[in-house]
Amino acid sequence: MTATEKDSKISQSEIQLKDPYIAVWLAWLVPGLGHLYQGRKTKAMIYAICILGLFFFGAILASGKCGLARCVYISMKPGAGGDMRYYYFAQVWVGVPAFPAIIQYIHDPTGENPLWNGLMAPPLRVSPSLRGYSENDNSIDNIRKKLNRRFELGTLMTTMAGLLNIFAIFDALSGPVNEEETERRRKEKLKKKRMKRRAKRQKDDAAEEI
Amino acid sequence: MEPLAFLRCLDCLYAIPLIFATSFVYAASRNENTQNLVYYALRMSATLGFFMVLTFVVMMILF
Repeated sequence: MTATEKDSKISQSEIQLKDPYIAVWLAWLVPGLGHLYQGRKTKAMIYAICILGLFFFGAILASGKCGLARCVYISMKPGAGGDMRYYYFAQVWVGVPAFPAIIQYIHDPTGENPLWNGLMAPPLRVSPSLRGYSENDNSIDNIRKKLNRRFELGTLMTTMAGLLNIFAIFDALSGPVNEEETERRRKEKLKKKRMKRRAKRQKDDAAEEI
Repeated sequence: MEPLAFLRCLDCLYAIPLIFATSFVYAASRNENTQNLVYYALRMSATLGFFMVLTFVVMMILF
């Protein structure tokens, strides 16, 4: 057996997960950190590059004169003139990189005095009659106008990055999905079902004969 | 094809980082061995890319 074949036969129990709960927290805070803690360096690198790379690429796409990373923000104001930003519930799974949005929301939920050049700040709340009135204000209409499709692309990428980190978190908690084991269980279940059906048919046939 | 329409088609290139990130993260959640992981991820990227191109072509023909 070659080294590669041997490695591929690593069972889930042989993977050193250390304390999985600490790993989960670390994996949520910074993608890949939980795996680094468990000593799974290659995986840590893959998760960090893919998830953080995607998140920052999306954040850069949605940056411009109106501020930095304007596609990641918290806004919980439903109705006219408001903006309910459900995307943040997915984006927050990326961990620390999405935290400035929380700080900005706590600092000023109206978006009038944002910190750090508007990094992840909520858009300026304006009354419905004034929406898009001034071209210089950072209302959601103006941000969308200035960034154009880059706003949507940034939103998509940062949201995807957050959702992908959920995979990484589960991987840190219980190791990789054992596909062979899952397939074996599925086949066993199917076999049992078939046997049950056959037994029922035989029983019915016997009853008919009687 | 008009030049502007061609430029809009270039927007599809934004899908590349998405496809690769999704494939590699999904593959990493299913494999521990690096060689298997990379093979699984590349195969998945090819599948995703193929279906995206197919959908794109169908939509171009239809609309």
